[in-house]
Amino acid sequence: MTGVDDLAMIWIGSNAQSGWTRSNANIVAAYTSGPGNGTYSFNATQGSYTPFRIVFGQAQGGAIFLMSITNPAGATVATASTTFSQDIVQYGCSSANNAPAFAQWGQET
Amino acid sequence: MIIGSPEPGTVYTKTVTQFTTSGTVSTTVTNYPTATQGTATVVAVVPAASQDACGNQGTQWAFWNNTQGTNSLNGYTQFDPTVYKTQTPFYNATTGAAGGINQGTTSALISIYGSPKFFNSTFFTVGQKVSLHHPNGTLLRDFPYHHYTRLITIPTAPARGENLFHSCTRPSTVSTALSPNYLCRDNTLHLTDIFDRDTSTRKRLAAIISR
Repeated sequence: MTGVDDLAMIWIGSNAQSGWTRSNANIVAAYTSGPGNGTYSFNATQGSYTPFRIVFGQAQGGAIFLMSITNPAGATVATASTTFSQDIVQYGCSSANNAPAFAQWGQET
Repeated sequence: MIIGSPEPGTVYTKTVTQFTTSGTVSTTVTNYPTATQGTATVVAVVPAASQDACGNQGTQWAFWNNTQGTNSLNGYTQFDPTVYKTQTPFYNATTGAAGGINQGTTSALISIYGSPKFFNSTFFTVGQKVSLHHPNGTLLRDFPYHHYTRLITIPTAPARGENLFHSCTRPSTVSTALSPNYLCRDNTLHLTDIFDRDTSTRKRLAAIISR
């Protein structure tokens, strides 16, 4: 994540589903004397799903955060310009995927 | 060589005889390979079943007004994201994008992620949530075997009767140390078919092959 103005936080894994707070975010990047940046790496099992959450807080001035997700081969799998993909989903198609839907907005924990 | 009926998301391992052919691999079967020396270990990685069949694609995003004050250039420390857990958003939708806003200072209303709604460019909060699927075969990695190890992936599960298909992500400068029609010298992704001589059929494999 780069160029953050004013504040962006990312949670990866179970905290992204519930329990997310500022203190347990995997990335917290904020504009201070300049734009904020942050990087986080995680291991993933092939065929699995990983919950992923972003909260971006905009105050005054520019509203910017640039984010990309890169796989171990160096290929970018998600950016702001990503088109719909079977690998960027709201939930798994089957309960066997162990990727339940997120709670509805405004009803999260 | 029979690996078995492939099941999506399953890894198969089998020691097999290496084959060479007298001609090049084409899009139709013109000859069957003759077994030659050596063996190789083939680990077939069949991709997980497609996840696109239930209308679940995209990233959920939401927009709220931000009433948590200005950023005093101290890390915006007073901003508490948990405020939005129980606040109904001003607007929410689904987008193919995951992350990213690039809006410089402006007094104009802005639209993000193709939204038909327009928002003030200051004092707002955006939330996004998504599940990232990690497909089989796309994680190119070092494999702790011989330097002839190759990772071969396929987009779909093998099916009998498919045309032969072999490709390298770079021009096919083949390795002479292994079956020349099936391996490329570079370490990039490969696609290949492997013959089942017992049944005179071929299987498209996602494979890591090592001597």
